Amino acid sequence: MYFLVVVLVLIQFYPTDKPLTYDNNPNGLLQNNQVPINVSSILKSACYDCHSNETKYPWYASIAPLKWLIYSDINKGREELNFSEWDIINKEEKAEILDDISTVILEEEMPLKKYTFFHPEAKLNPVDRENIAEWSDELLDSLYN
Amino acid sequence: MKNRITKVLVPFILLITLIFFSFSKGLNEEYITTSAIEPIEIPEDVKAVLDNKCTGCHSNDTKGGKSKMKMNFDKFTNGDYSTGKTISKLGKITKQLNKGKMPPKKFLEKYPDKKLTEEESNLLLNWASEESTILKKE
Repeated sequence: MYFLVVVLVLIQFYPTDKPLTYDNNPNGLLQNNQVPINVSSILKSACYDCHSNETKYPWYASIAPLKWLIYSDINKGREELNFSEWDIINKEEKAEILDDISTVILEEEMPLKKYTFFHPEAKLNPVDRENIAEWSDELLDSLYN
Repeated sequence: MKNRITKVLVPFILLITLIFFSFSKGLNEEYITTSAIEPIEIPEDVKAVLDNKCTGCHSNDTKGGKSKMKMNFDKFTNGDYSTGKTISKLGKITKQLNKGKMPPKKFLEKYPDKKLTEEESNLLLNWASEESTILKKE
């Protein structure tokens, strides 16, 4: 038992880079584009923790070993899609991202189950999913019209 | 009297017709932009490769949902994909083939004959890039 406590204390000192957060995102999707409120509110509550620079860290995200998993997921999420850098993504890539958004949302691949387990407010109902898919499909079409 | 009718009534009728005409045309145009596009015609040689090696998982008749959702060649040819969607799918074909990710390794372990030859892969790659260039110009 003591051993476990000592290990838990010790791993807290293992250096880990916390993904940085920025409040000011001049190239952000919601900053420069008109996104309907029913969509933007879902993006913020269900996607932005991993897919933007505006991550809202819960208290337990600073505690190892949990933080290792959380930080790695956030880094992966931002690499795939970072809404805070939306305006500097090129058109072809935007098209493929928007195509992916409707797929992963309708297929219920996103938000990840391990995320909604800790964030029940990020659980999406079928109407939310339809709204997101419709929005992303329309935005995709508008890129080439 | 007759003169007055032609002077007032004829332009009036013309105006009404014009308004109706432009109104219905406007509606039509709006309808066209939100609906499906002209179906894409896939060249025979490309289609043969797709039918032989891809549509087993990527068509309407497929049982599994995920692979069909990500790419459905039936939607290509019957115009269910919008222009933007089609361009995105063509880009994905290019990426997947260049990375050698399709058909998936696990699938090929079971069905080794479904592996794309270099020739077939190049045929699909050329088609995807040509088709995409055409669509982007339109």
